[in-house]
Amino acid sequence: MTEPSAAQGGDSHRISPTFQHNGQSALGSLRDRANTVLPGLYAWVTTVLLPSLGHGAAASARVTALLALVALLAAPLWVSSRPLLGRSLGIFGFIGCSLLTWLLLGAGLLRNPGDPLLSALGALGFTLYALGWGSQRRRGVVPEDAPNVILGPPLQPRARPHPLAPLVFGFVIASALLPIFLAFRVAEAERGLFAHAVAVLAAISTITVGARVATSLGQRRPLPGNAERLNAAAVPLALSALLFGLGFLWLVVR
Amino acid sequence: MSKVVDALSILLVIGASLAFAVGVSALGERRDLAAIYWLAVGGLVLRAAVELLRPRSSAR
Repeated sequence: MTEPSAAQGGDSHRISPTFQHNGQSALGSLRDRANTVLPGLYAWVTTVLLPSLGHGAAASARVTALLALVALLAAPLWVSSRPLLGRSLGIFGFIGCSLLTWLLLGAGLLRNPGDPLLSALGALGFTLYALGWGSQRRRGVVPEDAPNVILGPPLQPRARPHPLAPLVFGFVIASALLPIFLAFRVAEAERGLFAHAVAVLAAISTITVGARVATSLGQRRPLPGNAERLNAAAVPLALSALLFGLGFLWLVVR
Repeated sequence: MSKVVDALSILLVIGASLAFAVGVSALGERRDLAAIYWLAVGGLVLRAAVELLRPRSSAR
């Protein structure tokens, strides 16, 4: 199959057929990409625009903030006809200009008296923006109608997830977000940066292990025996117990 | 028994996340030793949860 985009200006990036350009207006493109534009706009307002409007903010920071907005709004217009250009504008242009704004603001960014909750919501906006750049299908389009579909009987899943698996995974995600939100309460700049790094690492580790726990609940593949599982976990569990004991002693002695 | 071990692994993941949260909170309160302590606890508890799911000996 020849992608229309491949014939235009060497844009060889593959894109879902559901994203093919159908001659819609700029407003229609923005509407179709609302799942990226709206969170991006919110993140831009809360974390880029507000600090760059503060007193003493460098003019160059305001220019890069404006360029970030232009990249954000221009990306949906190009994502159908020139996907590589659209994605470059939306991902590298927007994020790069936002980063440049923060760098140019320097200490002015730290002086921003913004609400930590607003910053946390801005970070959430950036997360949704990143997720929005994943492939999505347009309303009414059936993926099986695409010419690249391999015909045949549908593949059956090897195992059905346990009914509790989504609940467990949701609970794990909620608990993994806790350190991330607590990191926003760290007032000191350098310490806050370290806290954010630690919190993100902790959240990734927790979600990785939690996903494995949740999916293993519905596995038909027999796990090793319970005694073997407990024996394997004995060393980290013993070390945890040792640390808890030391912590308790520390509390008593102090 | 298997359900108990599964429940234990879920509790360990949640406990690890709470330990990380306490560690980050301690970091913000300039209690560095407590922060290191709770982050280490979280890492070890998370490791225990992984071992409960996939013991190393089963891969041999």
